[in-house]
Amino acid sequence: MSRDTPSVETAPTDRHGEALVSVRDLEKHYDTGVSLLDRLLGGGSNPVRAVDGVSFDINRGETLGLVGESGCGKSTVGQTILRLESPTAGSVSFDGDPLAERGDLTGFRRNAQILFQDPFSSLDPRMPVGESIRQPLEIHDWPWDGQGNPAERRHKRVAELIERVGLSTTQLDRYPGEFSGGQLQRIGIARALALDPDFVVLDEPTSALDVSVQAQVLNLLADLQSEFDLTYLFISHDLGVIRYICDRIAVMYLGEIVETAPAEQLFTDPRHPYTEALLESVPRVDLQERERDIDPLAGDVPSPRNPPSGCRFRTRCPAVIPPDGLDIEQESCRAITDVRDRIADREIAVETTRDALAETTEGEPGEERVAARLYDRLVDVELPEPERRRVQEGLQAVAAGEWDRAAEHLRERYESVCETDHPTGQVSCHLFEQ
Amino acid sequence: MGEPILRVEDLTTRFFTEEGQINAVEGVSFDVEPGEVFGIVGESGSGKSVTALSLVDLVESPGRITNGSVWFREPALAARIREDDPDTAAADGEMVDLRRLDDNERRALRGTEFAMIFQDPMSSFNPSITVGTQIAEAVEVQRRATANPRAVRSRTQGFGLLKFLTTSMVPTVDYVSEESRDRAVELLDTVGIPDPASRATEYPHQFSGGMLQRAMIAQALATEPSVLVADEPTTALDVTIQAQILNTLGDLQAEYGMTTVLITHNLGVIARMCDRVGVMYAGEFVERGSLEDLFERPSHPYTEGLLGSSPALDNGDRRLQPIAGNVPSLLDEEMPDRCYFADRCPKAMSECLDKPPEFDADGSEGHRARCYLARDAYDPGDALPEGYFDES
Repeated sequence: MSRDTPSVETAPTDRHGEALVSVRDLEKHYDTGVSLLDRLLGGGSNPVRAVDGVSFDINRGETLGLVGESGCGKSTVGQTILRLESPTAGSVSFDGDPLAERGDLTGFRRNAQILFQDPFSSLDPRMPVGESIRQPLEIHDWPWDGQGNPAERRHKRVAELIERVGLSTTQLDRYPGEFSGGQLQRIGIARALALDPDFVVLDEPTSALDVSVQAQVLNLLADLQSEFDLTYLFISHDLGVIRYICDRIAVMYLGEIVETAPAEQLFTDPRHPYTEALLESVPRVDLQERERDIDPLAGDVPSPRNPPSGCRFRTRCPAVIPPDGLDIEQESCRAITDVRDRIADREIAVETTRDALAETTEGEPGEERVAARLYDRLVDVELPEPERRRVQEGLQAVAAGEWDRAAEHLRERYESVCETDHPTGQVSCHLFEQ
Repeated sequence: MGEPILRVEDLTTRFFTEEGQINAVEGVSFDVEPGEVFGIVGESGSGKSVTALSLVDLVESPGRITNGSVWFREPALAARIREDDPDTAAADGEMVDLRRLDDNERRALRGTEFAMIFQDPMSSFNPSITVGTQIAEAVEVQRRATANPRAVRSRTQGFGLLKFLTTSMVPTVDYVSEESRDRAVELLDTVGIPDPASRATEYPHQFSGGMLQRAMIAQALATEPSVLVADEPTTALDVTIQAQILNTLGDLQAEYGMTTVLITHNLGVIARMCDRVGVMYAGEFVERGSLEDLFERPSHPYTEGLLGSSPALDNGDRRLQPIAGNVPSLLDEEMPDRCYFADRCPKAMSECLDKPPEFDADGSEGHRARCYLARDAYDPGDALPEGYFDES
């Protein structure tokens, strides 16, 4: 078995700032499978694009935070880096070597560990916790220098680890059921550190814990990092926690990284409109909080099966760039985009509206009246006259059942750069492109 | 201080499980004034959700409210009760005690004057009935209750063969009138659901989490309640959606002047929404007072600890000050007869081995703390030796 010997001789501080993990264009799609019916109907597969082309480096000794809302793909990134999931495309290099080219991942697995979110389900309930901590040592046949009695040394190592994470050796024979969440998470940390890894993925390590216990675990993680010279990928949805522990932060939205910046800069000077909105949304523990005016993001996150074209955030963005020569307010722009999205998804209940109109008046209502009613229902802002007419015309086409013509009619006038071009760069937003 | 609309006195709720008696809520007392938002904050297992359930009388077996009163201001009912029985214990001035009312009266009050929002919108709706119908049903209950307060029966109430046969033969539509359906659509519009008429015909799974939470708020508003109990209304949601929901709740609260009891573990949500706050620990209110009292001059070391362990968004340099140890068990036999926080308290004194009562604390009227430090200054000479509470 090929195995790298642990590099004790290289003073670790020398290599700080070098990339330990490099991720390039990583993609992970989950295909739920194409059913027979789909095939008969000629429909292709429509995978969930959990991670859709992310690139970043994690430097030695730093903590990179990966923050985003649920379903944005942040945990999948962590698991794909560790090869717990195999990537659909893209590459991950560890310490300069692309993982895809390594036949045997044992050396990598020893050096890269993970701490999971839920301490209750990530430890075997039928195994004393001491066993759980010892298991990695046995699997990787530690100690590698071959000196002394292995069983004795492993025993000592386990004792060392459990004391380092703040528990006592008398607790080694107990089962997970006898511990609280915070203690179990400490045991998870001890297990992750057993083989003295360089890199640890922390996947929402404190989300299941109460705030008083969370603070203990965060402080412990910070101490261990400087003591053992660890490199962390810290995945969390909690911006307060992220700010507290991370050096650099990558913000994810719908499978993509929208902004990467040093922690301080991201919090004091957020650039991407999503980052800004995310920071604004978090209620502060502060007496002035009630007076703070929050303008929350509208709507919900779109489906990762069918992400929006161009910039993925454009459906909720408060700063969509209007097309050249069109001078309308952001609010109007938003309203028109909403109508267009609904036309594209064919999500306008024309028949219901027609029936409702028919009930109140004599005879079959004309397309114009249906369109006017639809307009009232769908547009709740005051549009300038030419735009009002244009949208009405579009809705008239909808009332006539000509969805494509309606979509085209509105696209011609209102298509923004945000929907045609995919933004790139450190801040992936067209507002910040030269 | 004005006249409270809700006065909880010495509320005690216990669960009688196979493992033993669990003291989920123990001697909780607080007042809520009309139109204010009263927050209850605490960690998991501190008894805050059970307190909420006890308020609306939804505690289920093996749990039981074993002691205490929930006084609610309802002058007309109080007068009527006193007319029936001049010596009644169920009425006090303009207040009536929800725990002493007879079942029908209580049901009439609970169904119309109290509403509750739960944490998980996905499991709080019936997945096989459209959202519109479920909200309309709440409206219908309220309509019927107004028509005849003594006979509030929901469609789902009761059991037995006859009930089964009638519900299976008579479609649900019969219970809900057309007016109630229209009102449901209006309500969906009020809580900010776009195109409410067509969303009302959809099923819960077609809604996103945030939308469904809005729908649940609409359902809670259906009865035009005086008191809204919101149990962790945004915990299952992402921050951007949480911000939407909190704004909606705040707007509705201002518009309808509802009294709200908001339960959360998130101090940020407390800061954003609440006028006054109670901090729960191990089934008790360890401190209560105005938002300023708690944030500016916390008297109980646990409140200080909570504030110290919350990572601040606007200041990344601060080292967190965690509370040592773990959240205690609420099993009666494992609860020592002392201050429950003493074993984690950085300022535990020998006095703390006697259970402290609630003391008045500095700050606004009504600022109370269940800690000797609210009365006396900390005396390091009296401190318990380190490791005093360590077991083997």
